[in-house]
Parts: sequence; C-alpha cells; structure tokens
Amino acid sequence: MSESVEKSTEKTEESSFSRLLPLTGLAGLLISSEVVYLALLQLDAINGWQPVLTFWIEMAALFVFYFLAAVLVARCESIKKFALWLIIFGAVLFRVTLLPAGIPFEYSPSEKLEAVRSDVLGKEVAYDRFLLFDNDVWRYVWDGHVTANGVNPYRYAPTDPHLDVFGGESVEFDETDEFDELSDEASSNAAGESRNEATDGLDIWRDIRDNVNHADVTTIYPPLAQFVFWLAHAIAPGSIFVMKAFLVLCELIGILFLALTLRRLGLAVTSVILYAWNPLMIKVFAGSGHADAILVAAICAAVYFIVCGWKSIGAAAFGLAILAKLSPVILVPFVVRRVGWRRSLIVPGVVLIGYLPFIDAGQNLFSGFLKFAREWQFNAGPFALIRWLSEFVTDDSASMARMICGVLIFAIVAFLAWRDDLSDGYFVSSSAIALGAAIILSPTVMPWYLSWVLPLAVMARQFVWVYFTAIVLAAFHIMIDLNEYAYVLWLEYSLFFALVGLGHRFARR
Amino acid sequence: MMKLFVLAMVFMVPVVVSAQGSGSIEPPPRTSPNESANREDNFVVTRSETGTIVGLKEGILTIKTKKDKEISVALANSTTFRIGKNKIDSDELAEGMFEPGKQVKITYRPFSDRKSRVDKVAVEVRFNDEKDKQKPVISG
Repeated sequence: MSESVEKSTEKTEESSFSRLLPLTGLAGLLISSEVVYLALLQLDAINGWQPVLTFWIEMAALFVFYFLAAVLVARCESIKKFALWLIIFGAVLFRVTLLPAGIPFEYSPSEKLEAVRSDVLGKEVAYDRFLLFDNDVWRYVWDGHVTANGVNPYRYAPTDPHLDVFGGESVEFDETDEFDELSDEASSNAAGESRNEATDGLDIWRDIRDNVNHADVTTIYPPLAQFVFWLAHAIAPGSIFVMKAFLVLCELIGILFLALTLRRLGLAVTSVILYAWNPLMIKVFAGSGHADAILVAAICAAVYFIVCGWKSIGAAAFGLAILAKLSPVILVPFVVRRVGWRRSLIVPGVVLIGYLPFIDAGQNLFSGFLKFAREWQFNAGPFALIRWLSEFVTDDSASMARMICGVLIFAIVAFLAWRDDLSDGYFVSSSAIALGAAIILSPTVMPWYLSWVLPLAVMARQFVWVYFTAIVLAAFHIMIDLNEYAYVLWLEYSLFFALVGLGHRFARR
Repeated sequence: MMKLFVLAMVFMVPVVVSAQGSGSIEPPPRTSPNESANREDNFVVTRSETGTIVGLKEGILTIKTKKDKEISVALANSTTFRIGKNKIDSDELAEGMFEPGKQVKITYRPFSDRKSRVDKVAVEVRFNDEKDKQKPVISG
C-alpha cells in the first residue's frame, strides 16, 4: 500500500515537473520576446545600414523565440491548457507594447506616455511620419477625417484643393465656390466661417495631410476599411494610437476565430500561436498599423462560419472580407460551392451595400486601386521573371506580365476548384494556396500581404507561409539606400521555392 | 520527379532576380503640382518639426521647437520652400524670411551614418502663410 502511494506521489511529482519545465520555457520565451519588442520601440528606424541591420537582428531574435515557442507548444501535450493562456497573454502584450512604435525613439517612457496622451486628445501629431519603416496609417486617419466630414474619400485625392479646408489650409470663399461639388454637410463645413469645424477644432490636419503617401492618388481602401477608419476617427480624431488599437482589435478578433476554427477542424487550438505570436504580424499591425488586419478578422470569421455550416452568415462575412480588401474575391469558387448558389448571392449583396454610400464617386471609385494595380512593382519574384521574358516579345512588358500572372492565378484557382471535394480541410488548404499564389505572382509583394494567407496556412498546416513571413523581411533592404538589390531577392525567392519543394517532399513521405 | 521540381524552382530564381535590376520600384508619376516635397520617394524616411527660427548660418538652418529643443538642418539644392501650401522658387526667397522668431515647419531627412556637420538635410521648409495669421487661432 505504502509502496503504491509512494509510486503515485513520484508520478505526480514527475508529471508536475514535466509540466512545469515546458511552461517555464514558454514563459521565458514570452519574456525574452517582450524584451526584444521593447528594444524595437527604441529603434531609430531611418534609412541606412545600421537601422535596417538592427531591425533585422531584432526581428531574427523574435522569430527564433517564436519558432521555439511553437515547437514547445506542439511537442508538450501536457501543457496545452496552460499554454493557451500564455499564448493569449503574449499575443495581447506584444501588440500593446508596439502600439507606441513611431513615437520618437529617443523619448523616455514618461515622455512616450505623454505623447500618446497628446495623440489621443488630438493636441499634436506625436508620431513620426514613418512607423517602423511604414507610413500607410496616415492615409487611414485622413480618410476617416474626410468621411466624417461628409466627403467621399474615393472622390478626391488628399492633395486635391477641394480638401484644403479639411487640411487646415487658408481657403477664400466666393460665390463660385469650388465646394459646391461636395456634399451638403461638407459644403456647410467648408464654406461656413469655420475651418474650425472642418478640422474638428484641431490644429493637426495639415501635418497629417502632409504625411499621407501617394497623396495625389484617391484612396484604394474598400468600404469596410473606410468604416473602421471612420469609427476610429469618431472616437479620437487624428489619433494614430487609436487607429492602431482598432486595427489590433480587428486582428485579435481574427485570432479568436482562428482558434475556434482550429478546434472545429479537430486541430490543436494552441497552434494559434503560429499566428498570434508571429513577429511579422505584430510588427505590421501593432507596430506600423496596416489595414489588412480588418481582412484577417473578416476572412477568419467567414472560414469559421462556413466550416460550422452557418452558410448565410459565412457568405455575409465573406462579403465583408471583400469589402475589407479585394483580394479574397479569388476564393469565390470555393465559397459558392459550400454555401450554395442561392446563399452565395449574399456575397455580392453585401459588397453592393458596402459600396452604395460611395457610389457618387463614379469612375473614381476604383481609380486609386486601378492605378496601384497598373503601376506598382515591389519585391516581385516570378512576376519579374515573366516581365523580363516578355521584354523579348513586346514593348509593354509590364502589361504582358500582369496578364500572364493573372491567367496563372486564374488557372491555379480553376484547377483547385475543379478538384474540390467539398471537405473543410480542402477548403482551408485550397484557399491558402490560392491566396498565396496570388501574393507570390503579384507585382507587389508587401510583407503585410502575408497576413491574408497566414491564418489559412495555420489551419491548413502549410508551414511554408509561416517561414515566408520571416524570409519576406528581406524586402526591408530597400530602406538601406532606396535600391532593390538582385542578390537579396535571389535569396528571398530561392529560400521560398526551396521550402515549397521540401514541403512537398515531406508531405509525400 | 520531386528533385527535378525543386531544382527547376531553385534554378529559376536567379533568372527571376536578375530580371529585377536595382531600384525597380515604379511609383506612380507625380501628377499634382501641389504635392509636397516629402513624398519624393516613398521609402525616404523623413521627419517634421515645427518651431521658430533661431538662425541661418552657412546654409544651416536652426530652429527651436515647441519643446525648446534646437534642431539644425542643412539646406540643400534639392530643398523645396513653401509659403503655406504654395511652392516658391529659391530665388524668391528673401533674407527677411529667415529672421529669428519666424515660425516654420521643416521636413528633414535624418542620416544615421553621415559624417558631416549636421546629420539632417532639409527636404522642405514651409513658412507660415500670411493669410493664416488673420484666421482665428485653432487649438486642441
């Protein structure tokens, strides 16, 4: 009897030890990551070798901790319940830590806190123009501002003189006022005595307008994104901190749906760590404030509802995903086959309702997007090869390459749709491949585009996309001296395609 | 078969990247004459400060910010000047415009490894529009 008690005590001790060790390891990785995120806040993110190299070293350290944590969680069955809480805690902590990224790095913690306060209250533009090498967030704040003032953001580019009054510029009004083209509310704001009203009584809009990139192009962000921008503006006009907080909230909603989907698919919920602790995702959303976080929430919700069999809600959420970013439109064949033809009409219905308030922009509704699609090229891989080959047959190699890549994406989606067995596993897997192919074949491969595919990749266990989130950081080499170097791109895409090949090899085994 | 696939992919990549060249970014052409100079290149990290002029000496403009911090920036040939939102040529600049005490907004490019007198080069200097002074002061 006493022997058996002794054995059982030993077993319990062993089991608590076997639990404690990996949990301590995970907590250690959490703390180590947090220290690096705090260091990232102190980075003077400007052009040059030193800042970019420091950024890469810090991100590399974060990726090492991230991969170790993911392996630890996957290997230790015994800690899964506790690990989930640590994963959630870490996901929130890392994101909250990076929200002030962009506030001058040399500020002390108390000065940073004061700067955040000023930013939220609209007292001053407290953030630098670039937030960890990116500056798209200013456009969101500006779009939210003009929308709140009754101006259609698809109609006028930020530099358009029609919007001068909203940027706090001096405007002289006369009878042939240029504002009569604007909506009634906007006209009254603009033509009244008050630049004050048009600027919410804040003296920050000129600086914010100056900070918008490609300010001569109308907005490319679809209506759901515009709604979030407006919502953030309604709470704190002109605040970068609040805008970023909103985007992080969207991302956290996405993480919640991702965890629910993993459970639904019978996979370990703790593998949500592959998204929740991914350093690129944390950098691009909490650090730099990219709007793709809205897509993450919508696409994760859509997938969850569809795999649960809640077809109408799934179709509506998918419509919202298209309203967040147009790219998920390529997943239509997979969604339609799952929700049925009738319910799939909800998708265009939701999209139409979303665009309806902005319809008066006419042909300008997609002009920003089309300009982007036609003229941008950055960090491209296969697209650049096709473009180079096209130069032998046509003068307009860019258009030819765009057409060929478009056809290739169409062929991939058609092939996947043709082989669709209507299972949940195939749905997430083919969606990840389709969106991933669209990114890889795109002329513009911004690092944050990987957020479109990462949640699906986690569900489909396609780890090549997880690795690519680390590899794609090479794209930041342009911040060194504003040039894209062939050898860096060589490295980036060599690694990616080698991993694709290796992945296939292991999968077959 | 798989090996062939991997090899094909890996061999394809150098061709891909050799097709890139350097600086293959294609930003959209500038279409608006009012476009601010700090958008010359979307990858150029710039910062802005508003303050009062302390002095201009040997092409280096020093301003004092609202937080009582002095910042010196080198004026370059590429520096653009504006009064309000309107761009002006450098030959339209008058000495009086740089009088100490006048308010300006400077947008500058910081350099991390520059071994010269100043580590900031002005991209844009924006003087207050006289019309602005007649408007009521707006504050948060």
